[in-house]
Amino acid sequence: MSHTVLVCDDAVFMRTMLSDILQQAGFTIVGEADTGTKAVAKYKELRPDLVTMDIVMPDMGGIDAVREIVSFDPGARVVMCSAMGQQALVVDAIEAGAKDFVVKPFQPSRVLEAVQRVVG
Amino acid sequence: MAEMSLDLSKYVDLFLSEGREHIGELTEALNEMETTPSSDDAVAAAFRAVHSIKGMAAAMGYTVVTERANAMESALDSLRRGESQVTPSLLGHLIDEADELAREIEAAVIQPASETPGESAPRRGASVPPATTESARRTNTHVRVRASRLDALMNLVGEIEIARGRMEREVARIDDDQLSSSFENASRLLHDLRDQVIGARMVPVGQVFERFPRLVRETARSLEKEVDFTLDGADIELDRTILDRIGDPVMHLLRNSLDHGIEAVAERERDGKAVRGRLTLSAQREAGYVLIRVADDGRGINREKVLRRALELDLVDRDATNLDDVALLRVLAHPGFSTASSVTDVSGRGVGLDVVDAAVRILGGTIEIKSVAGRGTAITLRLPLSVAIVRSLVARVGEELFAIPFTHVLETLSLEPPASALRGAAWTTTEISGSQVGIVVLGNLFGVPTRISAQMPGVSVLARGRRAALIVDAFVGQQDVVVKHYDPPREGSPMFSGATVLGDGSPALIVDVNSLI
Repeated sequence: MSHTVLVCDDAVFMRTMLSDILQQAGFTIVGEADTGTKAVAKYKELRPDLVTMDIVMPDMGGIDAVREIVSFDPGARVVMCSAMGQQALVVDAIEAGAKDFVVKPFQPSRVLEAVQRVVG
Repeated sequence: MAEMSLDLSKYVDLFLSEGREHIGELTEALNEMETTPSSDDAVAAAFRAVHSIKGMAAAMGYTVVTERANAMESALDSLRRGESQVTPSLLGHLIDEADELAREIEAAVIQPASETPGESAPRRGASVPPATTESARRTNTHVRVRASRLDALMNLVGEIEIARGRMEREVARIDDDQLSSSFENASRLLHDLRDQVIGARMVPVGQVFERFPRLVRETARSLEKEVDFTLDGADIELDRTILDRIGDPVMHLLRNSLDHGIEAVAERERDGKAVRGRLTLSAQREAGYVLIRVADDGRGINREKVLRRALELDLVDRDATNLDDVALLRVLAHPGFSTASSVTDVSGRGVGLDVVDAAVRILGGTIEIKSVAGRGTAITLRLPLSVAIVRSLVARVGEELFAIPFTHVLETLSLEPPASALRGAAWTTTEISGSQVGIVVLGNLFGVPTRISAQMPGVSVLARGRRAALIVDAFVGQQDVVVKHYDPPREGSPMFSGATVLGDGSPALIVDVNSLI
């Protein structure tokens, strides 16, 4: 039974690359979101096993989105995708309820390690 | 878990298209910061755009782009946090950086994933096995070469060309079959080499033109006009030097079309035209030239008004009653004509066309104009493929040699100079097959001692849509001449566009036909 994933990033490029990595490893991408607001709405609608969440997005940032998703579903499993130099924000994200993080640029093995640990 | 590979070459197109989008958003945000420095939204939008670019570039291993985006991100971040203020100098810096970033994004995708040889992309890590990088390199084998190095190569090719010309005379003198055939072989290879070097300097016009759709959209919006813009032939290639220099003139023409050509919605409706105006920028190859055309379906140029003004300024014959396309261009391209403010108001067109004309002429090109009242205007720039080598007709005037670029040559002929030529007139007219044609007696014009005889060789030329004949003393032959930099005299009209050294080592000036007619 393959795990379902919601991929949230404002860049199509990043969503595509991340989806490719996850699909190659057998995950099913059930949805994508390009803003924090949409991420929250899609989560409620799709109830995916896993969410990958970019930090910097228009409308609502990733950290606020994590906070909302976790308050809606305390069992939500969110992996943050942060850029280099955003360590401080990663801490905020973990406090907000994210389970793990990966740093862009993505290393496929690191991404899979993180998501598999989270859904494990 | 199994080691995964990620074939980065798959993402190049996506990187480019989305990168350009983010550059667009960035530019828009910076513009807004300029008009509304207190706008937090604009700062946030600019920050997001560079942040996204940084992330994508890092993923692709484009370190140059990543680093610039990162530096911009830091500056924008401190603005966002209120740690610094938007100042004109900071904004100017960010705008320059955005331009650089845009260029680097374009440059990054035409070269291997790692931009600097010997320096592997950092942080991409072991998860991308070397095999992937290798395959990306094979499918995308570009290197970045300093433009000055290409210029130096071209210059050397020119020098070899000159040496070859000298050798050709020697070879003819020695007249040895073996030598002749070796020489021919070497000449052929040199010719191929030259084509390759010229080819290396060629870039697709899209590199410069792709910023226009957004500029057109924004200009149209600010003018409250509805316009459909089409860009054709973005893959047509042109010498980099030429392309760099026509970007602004083309933008100028596009602006003219939007500003003066295409009517406001209400006016178009009233005239029974489609509400949305059409504006097309196209590039196409034609023989040895590239044609760049800006065409709109607007109101066309008001010839009566231009004529009235031209009469006032004494630019046309006093009894002229209309202006054909050729005369129209001549008037509009007259230095200063179109920049006179009173003309801008009445002509409704042609603002700064003299500037465009000058830019195109310097490159050895010509302009053509077609305008139909109520239907629209098309302006075509005919540009040579390369500025470095110009195929020319070499002619002798007195003891001097002159090169006349083939861009302008229609035919050679023999004609009878009018009597005024004998009296030293440089410009005159004569009748050729039933019509009056302008004559330029080069000997008289250049002040070179020359003997006017009953029949003289002439070159029928075309420049700015006008025909004329240049009278010379003799034809020497045709040759690809290598253009050397030439400082024109400060005073008077620059009659020459450059200088060259011919095969036999003798210097020749390259005639700027445009300036003679």
